[in-house]
Amino acid sequence: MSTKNIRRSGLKRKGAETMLFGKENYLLMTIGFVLLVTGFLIMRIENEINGFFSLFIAPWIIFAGFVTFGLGILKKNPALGDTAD
Amino acid sequence: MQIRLLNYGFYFALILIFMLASGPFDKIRILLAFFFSGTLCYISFIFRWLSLDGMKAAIVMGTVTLGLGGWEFTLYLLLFFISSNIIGAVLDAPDNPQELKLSERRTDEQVWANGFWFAFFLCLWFVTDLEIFAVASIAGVAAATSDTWATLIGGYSNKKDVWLISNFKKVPSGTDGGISINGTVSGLLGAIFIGLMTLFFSYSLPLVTAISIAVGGFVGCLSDSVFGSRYQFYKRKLNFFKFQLKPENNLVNWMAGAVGVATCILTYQLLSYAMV
Repeated sequence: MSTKNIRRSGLKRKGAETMLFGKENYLLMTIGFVLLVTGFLIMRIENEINGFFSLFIAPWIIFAGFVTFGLGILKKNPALGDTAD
Repeated sequence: MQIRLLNYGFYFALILIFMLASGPFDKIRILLAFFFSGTLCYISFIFRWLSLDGMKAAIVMGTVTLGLGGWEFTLYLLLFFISSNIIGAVLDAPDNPQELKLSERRTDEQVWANGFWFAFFLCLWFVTDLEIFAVASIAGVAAATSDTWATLIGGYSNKKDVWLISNFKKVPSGTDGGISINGTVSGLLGAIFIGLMTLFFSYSLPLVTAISIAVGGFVGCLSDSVFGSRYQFYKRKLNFFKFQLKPENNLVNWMAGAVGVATCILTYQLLSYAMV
């Protein structure tokens, strides 16, 4: 398959053009970061240690933020294929 | 894929510990550990010391080690890596300079085969604050160090007198399950080396701790040869309920680590009861 055909068919050479993190990874990391900021912001806005949002809502949002952010890092970019190098 | 699940599992455990079982200073340390190990592992990836999956496993492992264990546990892990790499590089250098151990990429399987028990018991120790788990964690590193020293030094120094551990028949050097006098002594020294390092830190029973770790590490090294002989040399399969596994080197290392850690816990309990 010539280079022209490879480009036309959408195939990429592994390692040369593939990024370490794909679009999905960056999306997950962004969502995670937004969730973390939202969680802490909710606590700051309520500004009460024993408040309803500070005790029952914000911790879960922050937890979801950490999970999503980590998934963004750990999830393998499918474009990299089986080669981990 | 199964190995990748370990990354997710330990990461999830880290989040739970971070949110539920750590104080303010611990939280800062865990976050700093994440950034520090992330940077270091990324550099290692760039320099081709770690594969991509190996880098992710090492980030999780580094965060657990530095974040939960602090500098003391990081030191044990660094001693294992640095000593193994130096011995590997020094012994390999004269014959084949192109194949230095340092230039090989470590995979996630290798990271978890040597570090699973260390990270697992470190998490348990952090949550429960029981010293026995800290000792067991260090025994995991001692077993990995002992096995690596034995393999590297034994494989290099003695090419003739190597026997299979299961029946003591002579086998070529480098055979799975083969043992030599030099290799066994090196393994013992590796385990004692990590055990002695604990004397620099405060434990309630320092000598018992050091002896248990040395014993556990050395037994782990010997059981690596036993498992290697059974599953790699004789190519037997491991039956686990309905599953049939064909253990290769990393799984054998992991199982040997489990035996080493269990021996260490048993020795620690027996010696501490004998002392009190």
